[in-house]
Amino acid sequence: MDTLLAVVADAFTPFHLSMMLAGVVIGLIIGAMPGLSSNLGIALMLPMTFGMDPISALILLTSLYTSAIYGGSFSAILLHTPGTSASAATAIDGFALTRKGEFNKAIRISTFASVVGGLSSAIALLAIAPPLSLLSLKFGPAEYFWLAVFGISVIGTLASGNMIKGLVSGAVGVAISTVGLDLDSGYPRFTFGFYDLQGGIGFVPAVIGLFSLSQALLMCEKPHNTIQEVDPTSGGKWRLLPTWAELKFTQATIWRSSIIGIIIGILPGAGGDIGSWTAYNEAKRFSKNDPDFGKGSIRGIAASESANNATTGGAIIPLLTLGIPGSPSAAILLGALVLHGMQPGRTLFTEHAHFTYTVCVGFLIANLVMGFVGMAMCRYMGVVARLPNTILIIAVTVLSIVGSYSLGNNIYDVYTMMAFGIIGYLMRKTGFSAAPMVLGMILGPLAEQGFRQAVQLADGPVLLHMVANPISWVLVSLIVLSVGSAAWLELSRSKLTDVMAEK
Amino acid sequence: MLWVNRIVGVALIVFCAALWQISDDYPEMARLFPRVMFVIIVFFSVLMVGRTFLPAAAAGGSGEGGANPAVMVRPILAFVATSLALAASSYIGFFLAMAVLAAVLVPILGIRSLRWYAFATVVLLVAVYAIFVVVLNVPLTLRPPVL
Repeated sequence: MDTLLAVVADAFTPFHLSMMLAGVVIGLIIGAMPGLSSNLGIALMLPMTFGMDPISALILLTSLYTSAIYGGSFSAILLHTPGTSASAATAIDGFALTRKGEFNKAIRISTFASVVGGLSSAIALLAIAPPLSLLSLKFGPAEYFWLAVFGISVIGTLASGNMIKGLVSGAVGVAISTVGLDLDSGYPRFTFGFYDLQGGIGFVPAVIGLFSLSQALLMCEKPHNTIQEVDPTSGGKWRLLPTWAELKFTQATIWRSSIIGIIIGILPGAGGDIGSWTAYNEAKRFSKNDPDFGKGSIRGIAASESANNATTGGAIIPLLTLGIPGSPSAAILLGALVLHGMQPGRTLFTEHAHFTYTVCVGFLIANLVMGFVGMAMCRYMGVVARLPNTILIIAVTVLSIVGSYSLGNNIYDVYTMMAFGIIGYLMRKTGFSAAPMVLGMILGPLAEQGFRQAVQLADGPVLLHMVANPISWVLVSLIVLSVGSAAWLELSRSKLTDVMAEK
Repeated sequence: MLWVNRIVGVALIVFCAALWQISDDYPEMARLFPRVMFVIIVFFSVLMVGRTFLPAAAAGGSGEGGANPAVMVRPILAFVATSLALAASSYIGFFLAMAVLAAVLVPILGIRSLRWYAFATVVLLVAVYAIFVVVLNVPLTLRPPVL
């Protein structure tokens, strides 16, 4: 009880509350700008947290994460341009309502659904993560190896439209993680005589390059994007909370979608976009009697928004317990966690329990703060969403440079960021997702350590030793299942394309 | 996308072969895991290239942005300008280099509203100075180091 009170008291200190507020406001602004994502926001903010204590840093970043997902709904509703991919489904019914002059209603439902989704996922995080972390105690070297392979294979198959490209990206990420001094022998691997490479390739500069600079370069292709203009002042009556009738009409959808979002969030790699589309399709199935569905139904908005925010807490559950992030943004959060000296697993809930629970409670409060701030800022979000790309390009570029330099006041980090920026841009142009590569870079050392220990401990064939434990069997089965189902889905899609082409 | 997948696949195979050769001198345990990864990358690269010869199978995983290679001119010019500004920052100072970069991007991006752009750039650089130099003590040079 004393611990609980201490955690709540710590979460409510003025500094932590101000970090929550800062994270929420920055997240809302980044989420509302079409093209800028939660990944980019967390990657850019990460260097700024280095001077902070781990609790404040993680509260800031997790607040930013959840509010950036919610922020995407503003441009989806106001401009029919989703600020983040997670809000794409919101644009369908949200913009239809805006056109009917009911944008305040759309924002109100979106805010309420996002808050409920976020709160549900925060409660799920607090309830599921501690017992799940016990599982990590049963893991040996081989299990950690298979766990890392499972994380990369799932994110590789889900994060991009092409399974093989996703897996290639993940494998290249793991290979990149081997650059630098070998921890056992001290032998420099793939450093080509460059002293700076001996410490390995910096994760944070690589992430800033892959997510932020590559986005700025992509926006350079169309620096004068035109967005539909809608007058947000004529959007109906402003209310903080939905009316009783609106609540009654959407409550089942919100709860169902929140549960879907939490479950999808827990799956490695399946982020807000998959969560929101799945919940939207489910809501459509359950709304056969709603003639407005798809044409301006608040159920559509509620489904998409509650699910995408519910994925945020869900994605943090495997991150804290097993070190496997549930979404690309959570992968960057994992990097932040490690950089602040915390290792995922059981110790987070025992030795560092105060840190973990304060961050989780902070995340819960941040979802409430997000609702109030979002409703207060909604009239101005249209202006934010319409900021010219030219300004965003220079802002993201300058912040990427400064952010990567500030990590260690080292120009090498900036060159790393620039190199990964152009690699990220070319990857996006050629249909390769950066998310599996990032996860590969994070999980690579874990996979290598597990692999090497398993090889050293093996008394006979290495592969047999690596699948000797039932947990290993389960993980291998899950890997086969995830890759197999993705391959089957792609083959079915190809056959369908063939049939369509023949017709 | 077919030719892109083939080029990337072949490039990855060649790259892995070269790195395999380089890792020959490493201690056995130090080269074991990277080599496992090279085999996996080559395996997927062969699959990726092989798929391009199957009808309709290469349709998935199309890239972002415009499909015409000409749209890449602006991003590449912007990247070169940023790299040059970064190199110049050692001589003329970080903030001056960023201001020059902002000016160089005007013709590259075809910026029309100059006054608004200049105002936003100044606000951005002041904010960067306030947050990174004043609050976080990052040693970003305000003026040319020679002055």
